[in-house]
Amino acid sequence: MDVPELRRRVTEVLRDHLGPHVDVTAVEPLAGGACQENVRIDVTLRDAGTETSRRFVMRSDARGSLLGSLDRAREYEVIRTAAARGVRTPRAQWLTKDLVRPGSHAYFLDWVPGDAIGRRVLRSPELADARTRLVDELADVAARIHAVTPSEHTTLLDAARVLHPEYDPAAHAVRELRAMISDLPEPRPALELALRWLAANTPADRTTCLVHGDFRVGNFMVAPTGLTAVLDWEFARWGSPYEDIAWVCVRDWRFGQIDRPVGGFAQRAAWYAAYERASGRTVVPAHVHYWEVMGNVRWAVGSLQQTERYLAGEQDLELLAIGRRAVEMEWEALRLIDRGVRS
Amino acid sequence: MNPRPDASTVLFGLAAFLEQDARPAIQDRALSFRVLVAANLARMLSAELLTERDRLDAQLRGLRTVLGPERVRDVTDAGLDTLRTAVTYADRELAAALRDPSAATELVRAATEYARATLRDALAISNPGFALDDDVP
Repeated sequence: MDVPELRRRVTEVLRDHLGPHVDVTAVEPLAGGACQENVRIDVTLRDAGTETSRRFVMRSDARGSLLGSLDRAREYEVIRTAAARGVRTPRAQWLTKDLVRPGSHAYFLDWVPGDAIGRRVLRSPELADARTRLVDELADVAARIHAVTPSEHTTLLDAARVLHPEYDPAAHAVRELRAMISDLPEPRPALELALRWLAANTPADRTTCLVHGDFRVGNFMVAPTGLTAVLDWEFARWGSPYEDIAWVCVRDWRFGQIDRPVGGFAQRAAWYAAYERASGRTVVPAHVHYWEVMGNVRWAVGSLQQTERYLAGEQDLELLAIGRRAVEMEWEALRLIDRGVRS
Repeated sequence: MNPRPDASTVLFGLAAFLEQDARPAIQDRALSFRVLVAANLARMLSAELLTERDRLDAQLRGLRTVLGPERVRDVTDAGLDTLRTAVTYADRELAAALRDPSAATELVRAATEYARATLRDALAISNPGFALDDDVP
């Protein structure tokens, strides 16, 4: 759809919700993903002689999707649920259907100030103070997300599947990865070794709650005042709280600052202590270690799948390049297994 | 006839052009980043071409150690295509063996050694600055 037509349709939707005195002043496509398209929307609201400007991001379903990713309708429900728990994330409003293309959903997020680019979050001098607060702020966010349980939200996502008393999020994740690795066109002995270890070492802790699913630097919006929002909920799911606690520690998400194992900005002890304070749960380093191995395997597989997208016709240079990086995550998974737990 | 310069040299020159000549002239940050990605890819492929034979030989030797010479034929004297196919075939056999929960401890230990050596060789090409040591926290 061309931009003038999109602008006309967006204006119609926003006038339905905000009243007739709304003008859309800008429609700017932003970088999107495999599963969603993002468009910046600027509007002017006129009321009794005054004008107010507002900015939104409209997220709509893309043509494709990734295994395990949510469509916009389910993502919208997750964000609304998380926001109701006080999670810092842009407010999601006005879920619509057929706006961008027939059958697909879209919704509008409040624009949130800040920077989410990994290297800038970790290195920008303007964000130096904010970085000192990140551990506590992220622990608060993670604890609030993990307070959402399937027994209290039986209609969210596929809660019925995980309500079984024997449900084991680690065993489920191993099964998922087993299927993904078996689908890869080339054999990967390193991934087989790591998955073998994961299958044999599932933690006894079967706590199952909402997890963000991509809780890492790159999805944290940070301003000089601190964390302004956690973004990108497309991989939210029911899982172990350790998935998020460990994912932020996965080596690739440190953006080169490998001596700071928590996202390139903090040490493990500070992160675990902050999470314990915020959640009231005890963090078991062995469980973080397990899920960090899992995270590396998951991201290795994800990288290889991105290359398959290129080979299937998505002509994006970064998709082409990323498959070669899978060896980094494979090495890290085997290294973590060999080294064992560190707190 | 062997073309001069060879493919590896051409790719190395292309990487240098992209990074040193093209990239500084690009104002757009997103495009500049993608040019850097392209330069890195070209440099990596240049190194891959130079070392492919040695790396495949090492992989095949490793696979013969893990799976046994009776299961992995020695084709190190054959052409590159044959060598590539033999390594992929043996890797597939190894992957299948590792999926068996009752796989022997010795097989798993030898496979881990093989996998680490193969990954180390690959990382030396794709990301020479990648820290391999156990001190990474």
